[in-house]
Amino acid sequence: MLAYGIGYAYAGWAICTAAAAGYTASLVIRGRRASARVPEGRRRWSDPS
Amino acid sequence: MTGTGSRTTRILGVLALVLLGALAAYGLVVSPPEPPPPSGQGDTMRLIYVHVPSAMLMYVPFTLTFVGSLMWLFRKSVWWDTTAGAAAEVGLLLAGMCLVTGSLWGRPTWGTYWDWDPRLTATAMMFLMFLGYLAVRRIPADQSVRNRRAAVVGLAAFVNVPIVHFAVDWWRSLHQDATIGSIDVKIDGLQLFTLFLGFVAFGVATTWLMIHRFRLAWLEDRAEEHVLDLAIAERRQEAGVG
Repeated sequence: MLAYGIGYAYAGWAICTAAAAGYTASLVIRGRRASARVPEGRRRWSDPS
Repeated sequence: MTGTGSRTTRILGVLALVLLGALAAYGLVVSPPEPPPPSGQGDTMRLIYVHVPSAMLMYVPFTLTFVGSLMWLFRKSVWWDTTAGAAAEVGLLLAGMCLVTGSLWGRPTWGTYWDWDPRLTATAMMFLMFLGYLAVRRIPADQSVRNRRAAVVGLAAFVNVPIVHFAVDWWRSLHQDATIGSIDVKIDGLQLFTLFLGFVAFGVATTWLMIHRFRLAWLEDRAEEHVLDLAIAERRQEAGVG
């Protein structure tokens, strides 16, 4: 019985990969949308207000 | 510059992807499985390479939320309030990963997906409290009122962090105590290397996520201000002022 619990391992990795990838994609997409609504020069906290 | 990326975060992002790819290769293929129960955990050991780094790394963003909340209350620092909110969201992602992988590990190892064990219960409580923290941040209110409410909830939620960490020492727990971090390290060789690779990969990825989440929150606030500025300018023009 070599591959004991391999299904649980794959499921855990798959769920975590999907969650992280989904969250990362949402950050990038929302970031681009929000960035387009802010004038250049006010987009970073380090920009002079 | 558009989006939340910069040269530094692009380098960090590529590094995170390479490290996470290496972690997947080592965690799922290269690293040997343990013997099946009762002498070992079999292939469920592979969940540990995600579970332990996510469990340890989630303390970092939650600590930042604590510091950010304090800094809002004492300094009224918007930068720190934004950091606190961004960090809590990333911390929740890690806590969610920790709970899911822990539950999936528990089924073949303990015979159950969930047990009301002190460590597990405290982690679930912490997850729910930080979820509540994010909900409080979304309640419409004046910015200073919203930030104060969030800071108080952020401080209260952080109380769970040491409880989660020390639960296995303070109470008799089904959850095992520290695998590493003591003199008597309980795993070795390739498994230990993979676990440390997990810490590094998760550390870089967490940093990337927090920077981008911070920049997104900052942009959303500026976008809101910009809309308000435009509306005020329009009204002034209509009224023939300025």
